[in-house]
Formats: sequence, structure tokens, C-alpha cells
Amino acid sequence: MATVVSQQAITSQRPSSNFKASHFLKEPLNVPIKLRQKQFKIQATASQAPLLDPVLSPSKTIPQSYKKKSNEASLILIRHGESLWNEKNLFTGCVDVPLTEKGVAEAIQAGKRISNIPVDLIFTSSLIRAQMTAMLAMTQHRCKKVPIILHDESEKAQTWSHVFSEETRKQSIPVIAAWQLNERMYGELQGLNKEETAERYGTQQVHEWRRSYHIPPPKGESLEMCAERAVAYFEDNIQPELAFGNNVLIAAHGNSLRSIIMYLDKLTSQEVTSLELSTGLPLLYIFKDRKFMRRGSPVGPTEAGVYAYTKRLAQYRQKLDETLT
Amino acid sequence: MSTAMSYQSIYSFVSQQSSTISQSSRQPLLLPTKCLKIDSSLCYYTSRRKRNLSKIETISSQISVSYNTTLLSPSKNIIPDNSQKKSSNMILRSSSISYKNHNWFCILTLLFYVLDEAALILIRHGESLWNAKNLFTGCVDVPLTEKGVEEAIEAGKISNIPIDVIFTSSLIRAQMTAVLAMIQHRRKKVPIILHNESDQAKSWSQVFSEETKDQSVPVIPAWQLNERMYGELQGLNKQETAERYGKQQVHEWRRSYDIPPPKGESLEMCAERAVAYFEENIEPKLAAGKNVMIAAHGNSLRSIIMSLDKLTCKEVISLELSTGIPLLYIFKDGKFMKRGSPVGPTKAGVYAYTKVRHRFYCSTIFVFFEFSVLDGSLCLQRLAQYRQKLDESSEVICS
Repeated sequence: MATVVSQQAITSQRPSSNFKASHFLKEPLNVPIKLRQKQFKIQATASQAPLLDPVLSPSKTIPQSYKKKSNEASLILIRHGESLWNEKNLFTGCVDVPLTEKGVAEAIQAGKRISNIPVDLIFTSSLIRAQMTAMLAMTQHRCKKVPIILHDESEKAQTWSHVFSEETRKQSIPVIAAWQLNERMYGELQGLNKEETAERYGTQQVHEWRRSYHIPPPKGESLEMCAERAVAYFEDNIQPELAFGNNVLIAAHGNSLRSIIMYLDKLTSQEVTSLELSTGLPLLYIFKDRKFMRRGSPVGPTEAGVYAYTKRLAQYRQKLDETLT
Repeated sequence: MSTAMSYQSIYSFVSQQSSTISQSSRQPLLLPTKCLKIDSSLCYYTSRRKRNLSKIETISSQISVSYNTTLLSPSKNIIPDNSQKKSSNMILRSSSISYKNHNWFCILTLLFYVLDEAALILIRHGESLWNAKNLFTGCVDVPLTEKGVEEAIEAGKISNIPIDVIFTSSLIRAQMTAVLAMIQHRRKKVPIILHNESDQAKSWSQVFSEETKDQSVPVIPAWQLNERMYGELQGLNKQETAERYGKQQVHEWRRSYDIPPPKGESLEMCAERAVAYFEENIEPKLAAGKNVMIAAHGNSLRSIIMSLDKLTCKEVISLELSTGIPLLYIFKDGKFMKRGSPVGPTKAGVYAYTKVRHRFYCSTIFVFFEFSVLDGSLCLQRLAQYRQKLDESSEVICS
């Protein structure tokens, strides 16, 4: 189903400041991209553009076709579960602390809830607790596709992680790790005990740092700063995928997800500071006609619930039921 | 494994306090240690005596343990104060201490110990999603299956072996194995993955509390510990590849030492980068007395084992590492001694050593002692039973 199209000079002007060499991201897979230096053959399938591009093979495929896969796409947001420092009541921020057993169980539970919702692409932060949450959740998914983390930290990392089989690529879900989806950086509070900090700086001050919109802790980020980078990343990298019709899963952290939800639901800064996201409970949004519609949290597979999703999702689930049972 | 022997050991770790005390004090200290009666049929002593040692006696048939201490003369290897090593020499004196004086033993947590050995644990990650599908994985970053997750958690039952630093590859299956294994670790230290991909990553992941840092185990990801890069075979089905290139050729790529698959690495090339990394980055930590865990892949670990055990090319080709089963090595005097696989805490195992020096960790309820059995070889039979008895008696004494 692939047709070879000669290279076209469709470019999109992406601000170069969003790209740092060390965090270079693969271009969104199915949208107009910056013109690349190398000569690529462009392949576009009629029904589904290939999902993995330079990672798979440098000589193939920068999808240039802007033809949409679908009018509708689902977006799932999962906040990771309990981490070892949550358990110890320490400020974590961007320190890369892993999950506890409970966090692992929460991830698997979340996976069961989304096991019937299509996922074409996964975005996580660069912290292992979010990546593990995504990986563990996907072990439960009924589609049985394999998530593969894309490595772009260097040329060598890219070359070394190439996949050389078309069939395997089709059965894979690319996972993109992005620091912009990291938890809010907590500056000098990182590693400190929450009670100690309250004693040291005063409960009032700490509450202000934690719950205000503009005020950063010393050497840290305010929620506003966190929102700036997270939403910018979302708009530049994730929304185009949704616009194309790719279903996306984002596994990230409390503050980065709050920021994104603020953007999706058009919340005010006051509303967002009082927004609390449950851990391990996936949130579903449907992107259609350039709008985001909240669909709450998918129920577990054995729970009978109101299926207030879309027809497309119901059909997907039916297809899974037919092919897998 | 071709040269594997069924050695197993009990290790427990020294409490945090004792290590800090050991830093501060360099004086010989009188301290009681547990004495274990050696099963006479198996024990023997070498004639070389560089240091006097405590006699280790294990009382295999009794539940109660009498505590004796032994006087040791100072070793020749007095560690200078500016040494990087955590340890210093200690002097033990023999005296009998009633088992009931548990308060006394609590105080004895402030002991320091000779630490001129370090433990090295190697873990190969468990089943990945492509293993399950029988695809060549190589350096493609594929995560673990549920089974692989369980294997990692199971591997974590090495909960008595102290770990000070962890090295993994840059692939998530190894990193997940490392952190899942550490969930089980009794010491309850928190593994923290170090980020140095950019200045921002470094500064953003800083920890601002000394106490918290003390309770952390750094995890260092390194691409040099990645699986062997399989080139154009990555993602291919193993049967398909056999059909396409011929079984012979595929077998050659997989099992020869120096023939790489197209655009891939041979085992020799993999060994080159893995062993170089090990020698430059991991061995110095071991030499400094830090206990290291490496969570990596079949080929990178085989390469390292080849270097540790001084295997030939032929031997390493036929070396197969079990997944999810930790392998223990002791690093001492610049040499590596294989210690097999530590058993889980609830299993009784066979303990048999050969004529090598090793360090014997003995766990108690309140207090963790560490003392060296330097002179002599020690064959400890029923050590696992002894340990079980300790656990039982600890339940009795614990208040």
C-alpha cells in the first residue's frame, strides 16, 4: 500500500529554539516537516502513513503526505503512580526516582483501563517513573503492539536502534521521551522532606510555592514556567499527530499534565492551581475538528459502564474483540 | 555456565552508622563478634597468616549463639586516613558476651570494619517483548514483558547484599530490571538515575539534601553496556532470517566471536567497548570499596565475565547467562572471585567455598557485623541453617 512520492518542499517553520541538539526529536510523523538535508524517498500509504521514520531506516520515509488518517483521534493522559520519594514524603521534582511496588501496580491497573483504546504513539517525560508507567500499562493492551523507545541523544544512538523489518515496524508503537514533559523542577526543595521544609521556610511560604501559579521555589520553576514548556511541546509535537489522526498516550507527571489540561480545557490559572489529578487513572480526550472533548476515565474492561465514547472507538473495540477472541 | 560452581553466600550489609563511625575513627577497637563453629569435617586453615583472625564457629545444632570476640593484631595494611576506602582495620578481642545483652549489641552498630573487598553483582534482564516474539532485538529499546517484570522483582531478593552504585545500559529493559530489583532491597535506599545528557538535565536533577543523598543509590546509564548491536538483523524474525541467509550463516553471526552481522557488531566489538567501560568506570569503584550492581544484557555481561574469569574466545561463545538470576563476584586485591548466585532470603542453600579469602558478613537482628576471615579457607556447611536460626532467634529477642 505504499506509493513512492518524490520529495516535496513542504516545510513548516518550526522555531529552532524549541530544538536542542541533545533533545532532538523525530519530526512528527505525519505532518509537514522541515526540509531535510538528505535525500529521502517519500513513502505514503493511502490508508496509513508509516509511523516510524528515520529511526527505522535512514534511506526511507519522511512522510510528506498531509492526508489525514482519520478525523478523530484519542488522547490519553496518565499520571504515574507512587514513587519511592512520594512514599518517603520528599519533594521529587525532576530527580529521577523510580516507582514503588504500589506505583507498578497502579501502572498495570491503568493499562487495563485503556486496553481497548487505540494507541499509535506514546509520549513520556525523560524520567523513568513516567516511562515505566507507559511500558507497564502497554503490557496490558490488547493490541499486542510493542512500544519502542526512540533514541535521539546522538547519531550513534539513532543508528544503533534502527529496526530493519517493515512488518515489525507495523507492530510497533514509537515512544518519544521528552524532558519538556518532566515534572515541574522544584529547585532547592528537591530531596527535602516536606515537613522539614515547612519548618524551615514556614508552612505559608511552602504552600505558596506549591500551589501558586507564578511563584517559583528557589532555583526552581513556577507552575507557569512548567506550563510554558509543556504546552509549547504539546502544541508543536503532539497536537499535529492528533490532527493527523494518530492516537496518542501521554504518560507524565502531575504538573506537566495539569498544564496540558489547562490548555485542553481552557482553564484559568486559578482553576488549574486547584486541579488535582489522580495517579494511575487515565483520562481520555477526543480530538476532533480541532477541539478537545473530555471523556473522563475509561472503565476497566470488566466493568459495565456507560460507553460515552465515540463510534470509532466502539468499532475499534469490536475489532479487537473479533480478532482476539 | 561452563565454569560455574555452586557457591552461595550469605551477605548482609553493615548499617549506615557503622560506616560513618568507621570513617571517623582509625583506632583499633575492641569489639565482640559472633563466633561460628566450623563444621570440623569441612574446615581447614591455610598456613599463610598475614593477619590473625577470628575463629569462626557455627553452632549448627543449637539455636542460641554465644558471642565471642577474638583479638586480632593489626594488619600490615593499615589504611591511611586519606584513603578513599571506607574501611579501616579493626582489632577484635575475645570475650564471651551473653546473647541476652542485646543493648550492648546495639551499641556495637557503631563498629567499623575492614573493608578491602567489594561485591559485584551482575544481572541479565528478563524477557522482553521481542524475546517473546522471537525477534532479534540488539539495541532496539524494547521493554520487558510481565514475565520480565516478575523476573526482575525476583532477582531483587538479593536483598542482603549491599549495593552502593548501579550501572545499567541505556536501554529501558535493563534500567527497569535494576529499579525493580531494588524495590526488594532491604536497605531501602532509593535508586536515582543520574542524568548527564545536557547541562540542564544535570542541574534539574540535583538533590539538595545531604541526608537524602545518603539514602540514595546512584544509577548510571551507559550505552557501552548496551546489548550487542545486531545491525540489519534487528527486528527480524529469527526463522525468517534463517530462511533468508541460511542457518549456517545466522549461526555464525550469533555464535562466532569476531564475525559481525551486516552493519552490526561482532561479540569481539561488543566486548571491546563493554570491557573498556568496565575497566575505566566500574573497577575503580570496586577498588574504592563500593559495592556495584550491573544490570545489563546477555552479550555485554558475557564480555565482562570473559574479562573477570579470563575466559578464552571459545569459552565465552558457549557461555550462556540465565536471565534474571544475579551473579555475585567478590573483588579483592585486584582480583575477581566468582561466588555464584545468591539465594533468596527464605531458601536454605549449600555453602561451600574453596581456598580463597573472602569476607563473611553475619547478620543479626539489631546489628550487622562484618569481619574478615582472612587466614584460611572456610567451608561453611549449613550456613543457611545458621542464618535461619539467626532469623528465628531474632524474633525472640526483638523487642
